[in-house]
Amino acid sequence: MASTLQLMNRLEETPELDDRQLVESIRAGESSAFETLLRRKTSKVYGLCYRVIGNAEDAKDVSQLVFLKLWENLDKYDLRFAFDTWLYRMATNVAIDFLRNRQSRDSAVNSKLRLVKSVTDAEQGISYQRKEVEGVFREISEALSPKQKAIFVMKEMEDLPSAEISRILGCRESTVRNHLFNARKVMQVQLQKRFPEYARLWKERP
Amino acid sequence: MNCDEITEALQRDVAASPALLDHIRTCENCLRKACLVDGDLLFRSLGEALSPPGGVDLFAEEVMQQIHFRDTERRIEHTRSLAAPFRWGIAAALAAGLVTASLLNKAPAPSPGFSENGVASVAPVQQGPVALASLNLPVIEDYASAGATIVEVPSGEDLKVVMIFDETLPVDL
Repeated sequence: MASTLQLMNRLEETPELDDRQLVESIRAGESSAFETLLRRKTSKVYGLCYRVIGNAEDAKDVSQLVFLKLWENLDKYDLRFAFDTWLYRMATNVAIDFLRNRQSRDSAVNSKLRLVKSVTDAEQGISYQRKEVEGVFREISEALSPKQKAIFVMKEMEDLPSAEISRILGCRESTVRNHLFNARKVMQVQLQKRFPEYARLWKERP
Repeated sequence: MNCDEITEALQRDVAASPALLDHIRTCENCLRKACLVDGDLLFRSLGEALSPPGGVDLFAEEVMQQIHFRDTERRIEHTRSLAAPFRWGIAAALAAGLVTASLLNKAPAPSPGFSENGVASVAPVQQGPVALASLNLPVIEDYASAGATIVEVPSGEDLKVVMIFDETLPVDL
């Protein structure tokens, strides 16, 4: 009880608590601390989900699911490790699961619906050029496996180091590098086939 | 950063800064130039901070609502699981009461006992007036009287006497 009061006082006194302190506050029963954490991480989680899933509405639903899981499993988080790594692991797993389910659904159902949806989602972009690059990425990344796609997004778009990605996915760094190498190869082939003007810009690494 | 500064930075091969990435997200010419220096900038330019449709506030509000909803649901489930034994207890008590009542109702009447003076005593049996009347009435199989009026109704091959009017008969017959 005394520790709860101390944490609540600390929350009121210092508005800028770090992630671990916020987690401690939530565990002590302070639900407003969860809202603070939620607002702080929304952009990161949604961004990752959107890039992996490629659809704004689905990405929003998946991100919400990630935060619900976070709320339910917060007591399992080990404070010795980086909170972002743990959160990214959760988000990546949920997004990969979603992609796998969608792929199996799409193989059974006509994909016309998805194509229409993709066009609608593209409208949320800022500029025409960004929409175009986004569209190119969405199209060519369809050829990647969910895990390859997640690794590519984390490495090339979120700019996370391979070591961090390996911690997030719970695999070896060499596995991450392999996935990344294969992903780039597949994407390069797709670019040359479907968007040759972009293939010239984005060259395969040796 | 403007286009000239971007060109300069690219010539110096400066690592992609947030400002450079911000610029090439909106400027096609600079994106092309940047990709010639580093092809990965093509997709790295997509890695900006994104907000969910409707904004962060709405998103957070929806998540918090779902959390409250789930918590309430869980609390109700918990209360239900506690109340179940009590409900079963009440049902069992009611069932036991009904069974006892029906058993008592079917129990045989007390057997005749003997009073102190040795005379057998039987508890009077309560019967309705109709049943009592039908029990006391005599069954008449043959009847003949010169001053009687007999009402008969044909019933199959036989005749069925339904009423006898005779002044010589007792009044309560």
